[in-house]
Amino acid sequence: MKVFRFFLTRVFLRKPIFAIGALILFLMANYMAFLTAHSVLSTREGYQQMAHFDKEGTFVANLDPDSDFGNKDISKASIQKVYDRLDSRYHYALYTDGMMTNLANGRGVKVPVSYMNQRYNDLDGFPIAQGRGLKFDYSLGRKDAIPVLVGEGLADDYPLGTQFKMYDPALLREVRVKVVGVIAENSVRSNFYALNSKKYYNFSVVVPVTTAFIKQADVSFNINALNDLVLSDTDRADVSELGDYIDKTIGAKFNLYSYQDNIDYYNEYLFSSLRFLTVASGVLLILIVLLSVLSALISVRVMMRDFTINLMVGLSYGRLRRLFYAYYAGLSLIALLAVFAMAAYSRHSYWRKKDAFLMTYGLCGMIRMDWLALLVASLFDFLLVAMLAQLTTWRLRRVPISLGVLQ
Amino acid sequence: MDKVIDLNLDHKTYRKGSSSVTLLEHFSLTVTEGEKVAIVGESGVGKSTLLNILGLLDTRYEGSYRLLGRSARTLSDLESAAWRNEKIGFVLQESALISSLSIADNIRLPLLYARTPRKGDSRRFDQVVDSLGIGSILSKKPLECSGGEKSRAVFARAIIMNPEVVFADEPTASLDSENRSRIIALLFALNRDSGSTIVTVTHDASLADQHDRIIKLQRKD
Amino acid sequence: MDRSILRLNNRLELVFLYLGCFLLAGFFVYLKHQADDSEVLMSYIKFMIEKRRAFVLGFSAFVLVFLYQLVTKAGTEVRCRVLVGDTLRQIKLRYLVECLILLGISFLLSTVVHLLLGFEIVDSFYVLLALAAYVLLSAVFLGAR
Repeated sequence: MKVFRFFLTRVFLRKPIFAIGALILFLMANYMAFLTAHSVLSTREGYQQMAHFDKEGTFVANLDPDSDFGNKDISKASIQKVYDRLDSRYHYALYTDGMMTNLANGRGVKVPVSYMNQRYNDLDGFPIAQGRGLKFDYSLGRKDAIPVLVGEGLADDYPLGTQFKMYDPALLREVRVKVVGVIAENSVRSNFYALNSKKYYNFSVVVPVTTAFIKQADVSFNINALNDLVLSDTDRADVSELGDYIDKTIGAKFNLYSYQDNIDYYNEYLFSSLRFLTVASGVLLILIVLLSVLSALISVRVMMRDFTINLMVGLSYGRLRRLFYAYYAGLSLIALLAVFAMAAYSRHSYWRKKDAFLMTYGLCGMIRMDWLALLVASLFDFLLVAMLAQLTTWRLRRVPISLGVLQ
Repeated sequence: MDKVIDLNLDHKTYRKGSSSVTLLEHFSLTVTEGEKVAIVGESGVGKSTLLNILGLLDTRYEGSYRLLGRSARTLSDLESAAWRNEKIGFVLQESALISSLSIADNIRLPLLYARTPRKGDSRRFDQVVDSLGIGSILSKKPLECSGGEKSRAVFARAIIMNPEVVFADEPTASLDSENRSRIIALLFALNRDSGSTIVTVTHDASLADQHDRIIKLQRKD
Repeated sequence: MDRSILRLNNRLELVFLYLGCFLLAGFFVYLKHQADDSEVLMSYIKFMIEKRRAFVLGFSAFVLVFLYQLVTKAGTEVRCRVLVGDTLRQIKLRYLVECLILLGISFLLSTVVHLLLGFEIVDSFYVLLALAAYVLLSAVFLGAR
């Protein structure tokens, strides 16, 4: 330790420009490796979620971007016809979220309400931490309580078994609800068309949707729910027929894609983008490695005299190598901590902004994916540190200890 | 005899942060044309500082200094440089060579800074190289030469402009006895043949003894 | 042999490094162009696009390291030159002028490449300013040893 302190203050930091240069390169390497790994892991997670719909005869709906659906005035009667047809001829899974309600809670967060029917629950229901899952055999009478799930963040205010009144943005009235389950911490859903885009459900309420619920719900809910409709046990002809029917009935053009269609889309857009990201990051990381090596060799050349004198008076090459390891490991640790601070700040900012869909639990709000990405960055650091320490020692070994060098 | 060096120093102070060191307090030195003067003294007493002042490398001191009849204070930065080029030669230790240049280029370096190209420069170069016996190493880089060869190259660079005054800073340090004798002989031959004034800073007592005068610097208690 | 402390290989290395910085800025502009046409790609490389100037400046810091070692190594040479009739001020001035001329040449070359590729050159100006600042800063370290 005494030797390291001596080297740190009298050799390595005596020419701080080299330390600053190396630190900048380590910072960039960590930042790049962290965000690239994060994107890859996030996409992988989304891809795994999407795989829940990897079944023969399953189709996922989305609104055709060319449709002028948003400008249309759709009546409850016409959209109900669409749902009636769905009920009579199709098996469909329904899930929608994004509607907000004011529900008193300790964090003062505006609470999003999500809606899910039984088939969707069977396909891709939320993991439950407490209680049981959603129940769909409830009555929608004014006095009856709707069984709901709440996120981990609401569980203290509304524990399992609690009944409370809540304004339902789909029914447009106050309803009595009962907590029948608490969603597991940091439960996440990925956007099917941007797999690295996430929503977390720590502050959500999930309401079970039945045929009766759809009938009573507001038109806007019915329209939103169509956007992410999932049809199962069907075929392309039936799906196509449904598309035509929706177009004819409410004037909206919907695309219904099978899992395979989506895979094709991923291959064409998502994976090519992901490939682009990894290639670009790879190129930049290789450049960082090259510059780090050059910078380390330059610093050794400039400080050759200091190293030679120390070697002359008894420092072994093995110990010198350990000193280099400690020095570069210290720099990489600083860089890693900076990236950690940046990631933690980003996660924490969602809590400050009370962004219910992005508030996550963990140390400073950091979730597993963040830690994994940090691990990838630290592995890259480890390789870089080892490379630099070995190279610099090798370079010094090649210089004979002589008066010539000292002069 | 004309005074080549007429120095009257009040003191020279080095400052670093809040601490300061004062050297050469109330120091006077007069050297006449063709004289050989050795300056001796223990380390840190200000020998090299004195040489820097005499060689117009350091102008931050209290006192007056006239070199070759002209006040050093009246010389501009450019004029000082020109004087170092034309009138002064520095003989330093062997390490004072540019490692990326060949020995020939190192020796020719003063010619590069001459205000006007002079006739006979190349003849002078050949003459200096021959007299020092370094013709065989001209194309070599300093790192490829021995200590003695490098010392002779430094000497050649110092005398190529036929300087009126030569300042030598530990010219024999780190040399073996053969090369040491050779450099001493060259130094005094320069004085004898060209009449150059020689001021040598040295720890080498036998070298100092061969000068006309020895000035011993002492620390003020 | 000339009065400069830069050798031919130093000059080539400098031009290479300067060009590298400008081309790197171009690489980030290329990434931006690619992402401008695709929201999906933008979602993936947004961090590179948004922080591209910081990245290029980070990479360009290596030039400062390189210049620093150049002037540090030149310590003995500066001393020798001053002894035989040069002045530190003139050595610094020549160094600055030469480095800036090489920077200007590299900038012009990279600008031609950028314009041929249809890239905007705004980012190159940031790099130009940063590199010029590095040259000025490195000149501070130039001195006799």
